[in-house]
Amino acid sequence: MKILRLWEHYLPRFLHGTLITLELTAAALALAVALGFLTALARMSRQGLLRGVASTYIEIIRATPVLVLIILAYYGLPQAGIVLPGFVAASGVLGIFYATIYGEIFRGGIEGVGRGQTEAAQALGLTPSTTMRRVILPQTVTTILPPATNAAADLVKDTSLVVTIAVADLMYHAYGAASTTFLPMDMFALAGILYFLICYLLSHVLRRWEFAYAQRH
Amino acid sequence: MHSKFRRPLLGFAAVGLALGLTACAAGSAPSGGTHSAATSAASGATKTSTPAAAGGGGTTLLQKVQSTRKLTVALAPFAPLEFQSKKTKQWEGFDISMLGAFAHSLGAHLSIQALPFAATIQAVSVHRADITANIFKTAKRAKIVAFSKPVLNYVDGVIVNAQHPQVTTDSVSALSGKRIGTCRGCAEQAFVPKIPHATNVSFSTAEESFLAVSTGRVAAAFQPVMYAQYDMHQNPSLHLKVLGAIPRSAAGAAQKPQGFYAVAKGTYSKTFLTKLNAFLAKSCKSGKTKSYLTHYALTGSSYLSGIC
Repeated sequence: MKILRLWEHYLPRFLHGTLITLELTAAALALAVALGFLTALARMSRQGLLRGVASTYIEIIRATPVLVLIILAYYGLPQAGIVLPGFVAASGVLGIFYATIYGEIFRGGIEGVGRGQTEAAQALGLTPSTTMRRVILPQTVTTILPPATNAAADLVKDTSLVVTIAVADLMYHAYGAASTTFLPMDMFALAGILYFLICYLLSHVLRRWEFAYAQRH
Repeated sequence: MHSKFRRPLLGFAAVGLALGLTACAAGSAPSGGTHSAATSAASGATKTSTPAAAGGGGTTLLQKVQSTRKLTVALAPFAPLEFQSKKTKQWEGFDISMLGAFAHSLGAHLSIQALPFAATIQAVSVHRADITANIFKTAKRAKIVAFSKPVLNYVDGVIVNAQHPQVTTDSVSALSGKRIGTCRGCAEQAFVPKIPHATNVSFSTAEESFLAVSTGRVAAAFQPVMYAQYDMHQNPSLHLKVLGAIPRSAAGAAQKPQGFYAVAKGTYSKTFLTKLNAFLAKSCKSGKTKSYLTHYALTGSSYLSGIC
């Protein structure tokens, strides 16, 4: 079939793009989870200044389209003398944006654990950090995982926006192939299949982890 | 069926269905497909007729333009040929002037459909737009669009950073191994693979590639010299320099390409193309083409050499 021959010809390029997409996702996700956790803690802090800073960060970043942030980081920062490579700008922006989402997911999970647990831990003489680490967080995992999985899948799809700053991910190669073959349906269908596989595998793995965790606890 | 296998099987079935639908679409001509570019009409609405609708009943492109009194042109901004004026916010440029005059001769007005360049040719081939401007003739493009007479001569150049050039001569050896910016879907993309170990970095517009050169993200850009000269004149903060022509071994005969207008291929556009070519010849003979060029500071004699 003609389309399969075409796909066979372009598959190596698309797979290279898929690798970049996965690297971008991994880097952005790592930043998002780490920064998101800190943001959640800051939002729950007793210190008003810390709470204010975290809230402002979440409100501003979450209300700004990711594409605008990516373009600002790539084209705007050089005006201030900061020239970031495309991959760094993209993963940084995606990480910072999704940190706002993960922050709220973590906060929701942590606050969802009954106050009685914290009080019991304090009564047993556990320090706040030990309480968080050994008592609260383990109980939030099953609550956090479903929305966190959704957010991760959204992150994979949002990496396609980096085509606007010439990062050679899957979408970049699909767009390039479509513009040279003039067969956008065929090229973007292949890209769509690869994106589907990435998201499906990711959600499948996380679902299996959630199931195994729930079984153990 | 075991529940463990149900979901993956359903997933594969969905993929198989998508494949089947795509195979059916691929079996038809490219003009039967859809394109995925975002459209942002600066003015006027987009006519979304399908090829069947446009061709059915024997309506030709010329009849359509004359009956709707609208000539829709799909284009991406490439100053000074087509761009939005900072002052008036209206589309201006050599191609806008030419096509506006042509539309007027047909009793129609010009409607601009602004698209990324990579989408403009596809838009015309699937009849989403009537015509596109300012494209080079390539064998691949000739399969899906029909070209007018040549409109303009170009010189494709190597554009580098004026302050901190990463490339000092317009030779293949100097460009080897470098990151070279081009415009996605543009003919210059095909030149980069002919430079040993060079990496093609594609942007949506020529201006983005110039910005990338100016900020040191790429070593050079392959773009028509007139774009760089115009943008440098308009934006002194752009640190650019035209090093010379793209090496002949990379560009081949396309080192000095010509620009064309293009319409959808086939009998649908035949009468329209005849009218367009007659208009272009008349415009050349009367000096109108030259006056439009002069208006946008394109005064070199090479632009129309061999054309007018």
